[in-house]
Amino acid sequence: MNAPGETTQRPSGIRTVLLRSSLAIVLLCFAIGCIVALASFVRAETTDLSTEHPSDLTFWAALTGSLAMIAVIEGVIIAIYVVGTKKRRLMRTRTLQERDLLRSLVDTLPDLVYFKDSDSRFLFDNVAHHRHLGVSGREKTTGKTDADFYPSELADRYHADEIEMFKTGRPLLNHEEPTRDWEGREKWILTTKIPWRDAEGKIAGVVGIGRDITELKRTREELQKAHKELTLKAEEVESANIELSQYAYVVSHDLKAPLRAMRNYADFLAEDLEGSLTGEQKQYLEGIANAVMRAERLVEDLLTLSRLGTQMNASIEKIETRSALTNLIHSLGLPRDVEIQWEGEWPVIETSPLLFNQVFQNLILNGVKFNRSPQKRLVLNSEQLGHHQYQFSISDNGIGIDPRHHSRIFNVFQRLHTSEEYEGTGIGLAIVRKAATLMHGSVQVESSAGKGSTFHIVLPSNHGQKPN
Amino acid sequence: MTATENYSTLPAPPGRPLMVLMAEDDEHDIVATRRAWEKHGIVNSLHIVRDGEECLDFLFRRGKYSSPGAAPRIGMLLLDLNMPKLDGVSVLRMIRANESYRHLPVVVLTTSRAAQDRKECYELGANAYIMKPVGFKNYADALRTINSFWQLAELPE
Repeated sequence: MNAPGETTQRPSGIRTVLLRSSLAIVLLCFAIGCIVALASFVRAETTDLSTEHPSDLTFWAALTGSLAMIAVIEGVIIAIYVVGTKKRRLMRTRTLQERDLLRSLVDTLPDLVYFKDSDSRFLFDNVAHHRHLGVSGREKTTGKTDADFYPSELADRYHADEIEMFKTGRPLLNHEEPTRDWEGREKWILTTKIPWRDAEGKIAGVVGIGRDITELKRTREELQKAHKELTLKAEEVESANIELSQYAYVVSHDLKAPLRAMRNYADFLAEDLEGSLTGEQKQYLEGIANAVMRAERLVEDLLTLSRLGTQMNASIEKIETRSALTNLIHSLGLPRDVEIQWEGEWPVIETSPLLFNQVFQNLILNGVKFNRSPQKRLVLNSEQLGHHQYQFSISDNGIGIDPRHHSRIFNVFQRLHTSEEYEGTGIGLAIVRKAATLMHGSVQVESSAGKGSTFHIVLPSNHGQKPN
Repeated sequence: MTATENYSTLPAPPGRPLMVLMAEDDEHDIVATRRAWEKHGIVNSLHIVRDGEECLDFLFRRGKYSSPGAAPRIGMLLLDLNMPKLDGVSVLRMIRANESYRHLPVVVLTTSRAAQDRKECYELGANAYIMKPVGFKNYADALRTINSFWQLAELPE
């Protein structure tokens, strides 16, 4: 790297002397040649050539020839010089052009660019740097140091970095550091400083580039703040949810105990008074037992609903869907008149086994419960929908659901039948929907009265993937 | 508070009679349990403690159970999970941490259906996790079955 400075190209002194003397010799030769020729001519007119001594003629001819040769040699020298000068002039123009381009590049850059020598004195810098320091021209910075422009804590800091660099030779890359402009405004700058070396490879100074990242940094800080606030909010919501679901859990758990007790006392009475009860009295006791049983089921379902989505379901596993459902159906102990048919390819998916079982248990039990066919049939189907999505379907030959009820059956406490017709709490499908949502999936019904029902459950193959 | 009367009309089950300790805070469940004991042919003796701390006092002969003979050696523990002062899971953990109760049959008898409770209890070394059946007759049947089973089981000395 060359130290920058003014270097114009001049023809050297020897060349000029040579050129001038060459020109003089050519002119001299020409002049002597002319005189000699004229003299010969005059002599030829005035003398008789036959009496002339031949050696005189030879002398003049030799003189003329020598002069001509010298003139030719000098002419060649002049030609070489002229061509060389043209070439040099062209090169000089190019160099100047290149220098201008480089300078305007450096001065157009919004980044601060500067060269410093090994004592950290400015050698050269660009307009952006001048603007930052609040000076008008290069001569105001050349030879000065950071200490002339910055408060000492900043200048010391920059200088320390440079001393370290001169020692180790390691460049300082993309270093975020505080700075202050000439009006005292605090700014942040992204600095890269690289040592530059002289012809012998010794570190001769540092070239630095600094980019103003004040805006960028502020935006980033605001973003971080917003992100932090959002995380905090999300945590609050999460803890409120957990609290709510714990509350529901405690309430439903505490409701179970008195219900059990009521049922037990009705049973005690029935046991102790066995044989002495009238038909009506027996009916009353059974009524208490039945009412309690229904309340217990309700509490149990509410408990299930409240437990969904708490950390108890957090475990995500790879499950073989078909064998998982086979096990589930086995554990449900369905009546003998229920026929199960399997269709489609059953994949392995990654999801919460607890939620998966909860969804299918409720749907399978519904398909059997709301079913009056002599031969109850459930068709389980699986098909791949998208790249990472499967649709599982359960079709039954049950009583079906009128389409006008389809929108509300997934809400809590929605029942389409009296308990005399079909037992139920009205929570089962709400549990199904909540569990499907927690698995990042969805559930839909396709049915009409008397024609059986089909429930479609769409689930991602991987729990982390949300379906579009 | 030891109910040892036995109104059973059924023949006594095979095996040695056990001293059963029950940790249960629900007054109504205690009534039902005593009734099952009295009227449904359970020959084992029964002692009831009302919370987790009292349960540990009994087992480790502390507090009101510190006098000799106040707490006989028991052969089985029926453990409720939801109890005041100290819950069943904590009691279970303390029991299993103690050398002399490592093999004590512990049957968790609870209304909790939570999978988490079930898993935790078995991991802490409960011998069985049983949901209190609904209806008194079912409850009494369950208690009798549990008692008969553990009377038959042979434990290390």
